[in-house]
Amino acid sequence: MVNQEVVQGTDTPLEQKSDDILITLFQSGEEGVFRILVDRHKERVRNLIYSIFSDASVVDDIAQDVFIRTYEALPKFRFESSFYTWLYRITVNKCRDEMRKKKMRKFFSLHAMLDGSEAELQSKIRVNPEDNSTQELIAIGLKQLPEKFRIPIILKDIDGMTYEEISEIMQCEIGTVKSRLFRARTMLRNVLKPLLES
Amino acid sequence: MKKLSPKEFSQSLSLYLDGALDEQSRHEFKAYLAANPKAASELEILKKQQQLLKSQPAIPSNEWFWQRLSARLEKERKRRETVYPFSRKYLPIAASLAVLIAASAGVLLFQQRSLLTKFFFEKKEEVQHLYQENILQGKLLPLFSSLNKDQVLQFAFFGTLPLDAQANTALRVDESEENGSRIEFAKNETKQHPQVTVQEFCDAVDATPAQQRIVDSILTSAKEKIEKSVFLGENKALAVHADLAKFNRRTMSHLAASLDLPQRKKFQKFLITSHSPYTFAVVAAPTPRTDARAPRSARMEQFVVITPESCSLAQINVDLENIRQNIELTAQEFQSVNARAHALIREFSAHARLPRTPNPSFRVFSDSDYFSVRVENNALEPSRDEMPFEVMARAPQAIRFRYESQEMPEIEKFFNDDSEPSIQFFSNGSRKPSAEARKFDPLRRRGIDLDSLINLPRDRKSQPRVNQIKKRYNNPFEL
Repeated sequence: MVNQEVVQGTDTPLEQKSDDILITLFQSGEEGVFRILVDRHKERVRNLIYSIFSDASVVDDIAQDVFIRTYEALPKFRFESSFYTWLYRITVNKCRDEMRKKKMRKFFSLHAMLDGSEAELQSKIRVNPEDNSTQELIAIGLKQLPEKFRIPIILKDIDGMTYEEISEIMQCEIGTVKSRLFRARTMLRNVLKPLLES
Repeated sequence: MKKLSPKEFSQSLSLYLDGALDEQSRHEFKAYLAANPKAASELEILKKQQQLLKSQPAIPSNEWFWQRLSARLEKERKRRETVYPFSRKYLPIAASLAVLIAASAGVLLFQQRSLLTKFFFEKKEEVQHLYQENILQGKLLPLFSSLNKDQVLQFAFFGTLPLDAQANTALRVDESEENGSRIEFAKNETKQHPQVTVQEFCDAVDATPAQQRIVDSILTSAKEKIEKSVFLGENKALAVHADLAKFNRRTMSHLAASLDLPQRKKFQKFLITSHSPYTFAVVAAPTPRTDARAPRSARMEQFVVITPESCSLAQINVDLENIRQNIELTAQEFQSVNARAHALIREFSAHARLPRTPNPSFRVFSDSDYFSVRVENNALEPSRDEMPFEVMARAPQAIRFRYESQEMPEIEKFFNDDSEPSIQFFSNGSRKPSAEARKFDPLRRRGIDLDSLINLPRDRKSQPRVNQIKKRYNNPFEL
């Protein structure tokens, strides 16, 4: 159906065409449509990265790496999922790579943190509402969550994705998503307890 | 609804918040919340947390995002084009083509290997020729161009050639080296051998006129070989044929082959009476040698070339006719050749100026009395001029058993047996037999255990004699 629409052509401007049509055009040699895809999805990608890292200075570099990877892999896109899910998977994988690099740099402190019990963890990362603004506190709280809990809560509660989409992006079972999500919410609730109960 | 554990409550609360509970569970949990105000407050807190997360401000947009991205994309594209001069989608085709071309080239090279071998061999010869032109400059003057046949026979019997009569200098070959041979230029030839003439030899073996002509032909051929084997270059270079040490035994073998069986016995006696260091032995017929190496040029010969600056093995094209013409043109110059050679040898010997050779397979030694060239067999290319019979270098001095151990009829019979297919000469030099010679030990080849023979008489009276024989056998050159 996508190809038929492309072949027949319509008067619809390229900017208004669906992702699938633009990708088909890209795969047929119209590489100029890649800019439309970038413009359409760049803010979501940038905000996802910002939510994960809570650091504006790394957002654009990582986002550009994501789109370069997308540009290279787009010829092999098989329309088995939606483009933005696929793009988010690339983004999440890229963020994981970056976090691993950072983890290596902070190996000892983070290692000690993850090795402790959950209560010990909460006591270490509990935020003080008097010190920071609400947004900053939430950002700090999110940042303290381990990666496998942080990403599901961001995708669900910030980006509003479904369990199916999250499982596809994180390449895990829906049950795992549900489990991680309730644990992430509980952990974040305990971290933000002073803020939420004030 | 039953009472929930904290974990079950948190899980259900999360699912309820997301609307992921089924209809029945949702109603039950709603009732549970209504009945438990604390649980309901937890729901409110979780909703508040969700709202706070959603209210997180977005990151400001970057107006230059595309410009930076397009610049990086362009850079990446150029990098890929640098690595592959074509689009990446053609990479599998290019790889397949590369493999195909490589395989075709391999097959082509394999099919044309003989031509390639010939081509590279010719190139190698050209390079060698250029090299040899540099180390052997000017005319080549043969040191032994005026030998008579008696001197050739003398060389065959004793491995010695007179070099300079006034200085009493001689060239001596010695093939007793382990897996090799030695060519010596003796400043003072101390070993005085009896003179042997062709006529004495023919008389001793009762040679027929036809055999005399054959002997004459053999000695003429040997004379020419010797003449082509030692040269003096005008640039103080001495070139010695690497196979020179084999020529005398080869001549002896040819002479023996020209005789009948009874005459060979006479020849054997003549060798003994003339104190020649060679004797007969019996070996199996030689197996033809197969040479897998590239064919050598018919005109190239392998020489050891010694100059004051270098010492090397070299392929030299010897055109004897041309050399002879030069000799005729410069007869006066030729008269001083041997004297010049002697002076050069004396210079090499006295001052020990010989350089180290780059090839460990041949070495040059010198002291105040002589200098010598030691050539290992593996340094040489196989000669196409093989002997009619397999002729070995040194071996146990078998002939002595014939006369000294009368009590050993089996050994005596062995050495008098004429029914063997071929003949071998042994030299009774001053060194131990080579490993190869031991392998061809005639006793062992015939299954005769010397120990069992000489250990037969074990009485006190005969034991010293047995020990003496045993010692001589094991150290046959210790006299």
